[in-house]
Amino acid sequence: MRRIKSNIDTQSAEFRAYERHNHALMAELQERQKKARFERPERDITRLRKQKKLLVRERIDLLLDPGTPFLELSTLAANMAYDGTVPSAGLVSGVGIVSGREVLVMASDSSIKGGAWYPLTVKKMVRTLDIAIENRLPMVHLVDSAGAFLPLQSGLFPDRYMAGRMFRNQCVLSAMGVKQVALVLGHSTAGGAYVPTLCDYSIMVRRTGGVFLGGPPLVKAATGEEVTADELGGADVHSSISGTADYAVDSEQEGLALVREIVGTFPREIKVAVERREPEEPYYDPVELHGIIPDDVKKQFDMREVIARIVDGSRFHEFKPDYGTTVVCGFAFLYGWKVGLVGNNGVLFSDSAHKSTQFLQLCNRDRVPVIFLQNITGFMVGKAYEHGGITKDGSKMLMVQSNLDVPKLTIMTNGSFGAGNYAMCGRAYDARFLFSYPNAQISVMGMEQAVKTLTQIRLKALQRQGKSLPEEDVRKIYDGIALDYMEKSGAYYSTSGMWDDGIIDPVDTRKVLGISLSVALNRDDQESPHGVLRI
Amino acid sequence: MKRRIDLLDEHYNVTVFGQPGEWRLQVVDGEPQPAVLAVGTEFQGTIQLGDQKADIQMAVKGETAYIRAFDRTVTLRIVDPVEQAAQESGGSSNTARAPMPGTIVEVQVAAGEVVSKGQPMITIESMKILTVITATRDGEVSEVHFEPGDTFEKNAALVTLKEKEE
Repeated sequence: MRRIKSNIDTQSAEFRAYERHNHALMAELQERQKKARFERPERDITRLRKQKKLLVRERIDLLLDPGTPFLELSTLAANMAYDGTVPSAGLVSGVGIVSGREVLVMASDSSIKGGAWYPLTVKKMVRTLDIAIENRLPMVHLVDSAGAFLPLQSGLFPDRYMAGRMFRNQCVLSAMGVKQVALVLGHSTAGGAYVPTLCDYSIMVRRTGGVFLGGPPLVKAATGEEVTADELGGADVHSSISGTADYAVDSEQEGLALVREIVGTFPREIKVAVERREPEEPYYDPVELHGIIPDDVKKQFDMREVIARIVDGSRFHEFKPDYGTTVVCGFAFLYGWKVGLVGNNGVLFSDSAHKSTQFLQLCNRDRVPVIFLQNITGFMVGKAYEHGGITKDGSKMLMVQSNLDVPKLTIMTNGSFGAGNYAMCGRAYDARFLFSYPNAQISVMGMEQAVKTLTQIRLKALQRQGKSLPEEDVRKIYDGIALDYMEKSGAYYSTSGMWDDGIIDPVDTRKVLGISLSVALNRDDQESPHGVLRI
Repeated sequence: MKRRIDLLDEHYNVTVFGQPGEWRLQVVDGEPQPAVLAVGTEFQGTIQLGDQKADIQMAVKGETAYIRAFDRTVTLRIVDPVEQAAQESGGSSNTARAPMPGTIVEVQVAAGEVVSKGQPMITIESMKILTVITATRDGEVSEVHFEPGDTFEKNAALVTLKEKEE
């Protein structure tokens, strides 16, 4: 397979300018991540220390195999919700290695409002369990949550993808034969009591751990019975009387060691048989991505330059290179696994949609997972293109892409606008994982067009009321709309609402995709026999 | 197995035939000679050609292989067969065409100017994207077909380079 020949001049003024811009973005990303992970009020830390509890990151550190990578998901969830008071939505989730097995960790962060569930916490838990189902990933639950945050209960309890979905997903996982272990490190009350109870193995820490449908205050109110938490649903009660849990331990450390022992008995998941060869580092340094991703969403870059800094040996077999040139399709190897890549090099035309569709069919028939690299302003508009059936051709791409049964992974590298987002496997299309670069922008149409349209509508409404505005006020309206639009199309807003699985530094793309692909290969859906249409 | 090797500015057509353990090497039209390559570690081994025998050392960096044998070091460039065949069957087109319809934002070159491969020639805007059209090979600009502010259709010729002199 041929090596991509990079046309990037790392000494050029443009490269240097992009690099400066991206270095600033990465510094901001690191700062935001550091805050979300470690910045907590002193009194919360003191309270946990008094209870002899470890902080959530200390627990995860003891759980994982030393020196192995942890792919944390949605670190910046809820960063723009609840006035920023619930960092990471009060939950840590991610893919890690325990006793040599890939597992999905889901851990409440009791240093934030006692680990209470906010609407976005529940969304994150449901997404985490979806990931377990989609990728057959065994789960380790570290349970330490006060339960639903009552003032916002209507936003987290009743709907289809709210709290009930977690327990439903746990039951589905069990039926699939995907194993789950829970370590109960705090009081799990009401619904929360089902999390450990629905697991295959449940461990409780003496004194701090508790599982009950109604806690002592509720029991007192309901029946008048006076009982301590430990007598009601402590570790010994459940491991030796009720059988609700399986093991009682004296400390968090002992509990975490026991989790490791249990996971160590699990059979390793069998990976899907994808074409494999000896892995090779990229020939071009991924660090150079900082000088390739532009400082303005409008500026175009060659997606081959990104591919060259992700795949093994920077080797890429490009499919149909002279046809539909605004999309780049081809095969490469990632950590030795064969993958298909679809990346944007401009707006989608009928021919680029056709090429992508044919290529996706090829990948599906040959059982090759697909990676989508999005930088898309949309499909081409105009009379000639409508007459040429651009919508019909876009719908072919959507049809095939939606129904792929090989794993899909998506990276938002820059812009993601309009129907292009759909065709290129946006969030709604069940990519096993979707990550964004910090510069990524996503919206139904590009900012300039949208803001102009919105400003026009506002001015027309004012005109109808007989008001005309001086130029200065028009400018103010425009700027106000633009500011709001920009904030809501940004990557931080996106990740706050979990429209992705996290923001990554472009330099880490290869590693992030490597872990994602490895776990995605735990599950391959039924092959659907289809020939490949040359359309 | 036939291969072309460029060594010290000379082309050699080399043919390897036989089977493992009994390879014979023919250089151009010469007499085929028995050849043995015993690779020890990754970078060291012995080579035997006819009645000559030598230790060899080899290092590969990118597309270049450095080989030391018979008391001298030679540098070989590893040529991809697809690329070599493509190069021999004609170069890239003289005309840079518009990948999508749009407007000219900036023209960076003028007729008569000498450009090198990858050099920016013209910047276009289309569907909210700024795209820089670069030279696909070294050459001299024959014609720039548009000025800033002009609009154009998909596939329109933007910049034409002078015909390559052979």
